[in-house]
Amino acid sequence: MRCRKAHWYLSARCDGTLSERQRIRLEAHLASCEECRREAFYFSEIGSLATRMESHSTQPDFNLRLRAAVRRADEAAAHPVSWQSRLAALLLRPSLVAASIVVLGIGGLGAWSMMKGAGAPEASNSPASSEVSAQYGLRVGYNTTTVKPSGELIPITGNDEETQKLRKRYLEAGRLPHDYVLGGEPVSDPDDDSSAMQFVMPTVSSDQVAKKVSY
Amino acid sequence: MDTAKAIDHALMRRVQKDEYDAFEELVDRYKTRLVNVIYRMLNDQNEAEDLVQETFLRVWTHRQDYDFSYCLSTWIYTIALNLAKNELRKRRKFKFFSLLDMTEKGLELPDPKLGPSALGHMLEGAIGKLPGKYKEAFLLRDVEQLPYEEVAQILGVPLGTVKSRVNRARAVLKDALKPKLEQSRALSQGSLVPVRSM
Repeated sequence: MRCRKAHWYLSARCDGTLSERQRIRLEAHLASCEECRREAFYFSEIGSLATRMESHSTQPDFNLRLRAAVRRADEAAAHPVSWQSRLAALLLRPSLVAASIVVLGIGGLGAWSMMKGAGAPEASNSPASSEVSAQYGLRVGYNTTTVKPSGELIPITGNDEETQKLRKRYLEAGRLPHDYVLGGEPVSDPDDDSSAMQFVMPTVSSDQVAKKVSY
Repeated sequence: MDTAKAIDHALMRRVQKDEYDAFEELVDRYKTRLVNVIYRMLNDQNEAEDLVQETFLRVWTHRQDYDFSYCLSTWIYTIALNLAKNELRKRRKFKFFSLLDMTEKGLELPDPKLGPSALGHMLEGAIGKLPGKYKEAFLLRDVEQLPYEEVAQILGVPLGTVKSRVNRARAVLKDALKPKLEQSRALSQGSLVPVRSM
């Protein structure tokens, strides 16, 4: 018998599952091979150690806790819960409730800010409007739109490159009548001025538009 | 039918008649064995106890479903191991780290002065590092001393696969413990016994 085959038989030897013929051949090999004898010792030691491993017992109150759990399970089985109650229990799970509150809170806050600002984004947060401001030096706003309107709609009709760019920017920013900018002056205290209005559209002061846009 | 199996079946028949005393007797017969297997699977004593409790709870609630053509131990070990595997799956999904676990229990080496028990500690550590499928096969076969056929039924794999996994686990453990085993062998042969000078 070769060492490789002997190694294969060593595990079966520990289990006592070798046939008589296999066992005799293996023992004969072990008698003449120090290396395999060593391996056989390792295998039998592992087996012996495994049976003598430290035992982990349960806590003393294990049976009591189990009895309580069994009682609860029996009670649940005796009084099956209706699907409505299960649904209610599912919906009222603390994590779900907390998540709903957060979602509703965020949604409510969003709706409130939309109503307050009439859905217009902050001028400073709008890349289009800030770019327009930077490029043309105009006061363009979306939610600081409490203005006293001058009543005039300033057409943006110039064909020069600068005007076209400005028009394009406004269109990209949206909410603007395609061909006009509403003129008006910001109002510092809207409550004092009954004619002050909140506008959804971007506003610029007419003189600034006049200065920058030729038409 | 061997004695243990006969006792289990007798108890289970009483359990099916809702006799809680018989159920408790059954619990006492299996709880330590189950805790040991699951503890070595999860490396967490509290978690192991919780899963063993859940195992027995399932045995109680499904007591009427038990098929007497199987060993009761097979049924109970199957439930327990499935729960343990689910727990391991959950752990893989959500990895929890405790500062107390930073020492990596499985890698702790015992004090060499501990003597023969040091080998037992090393074996615990080496088992902890075995891949799951080898670990469960080794624990059921070599630690719990269950027959190969029953291990195959519990794990739901062919007999040959179980033998191969147990063999592989033994080989890995042997390699991990080789230096210590060699010392033990040398001591048992007397070659390393210190000689007192006169």
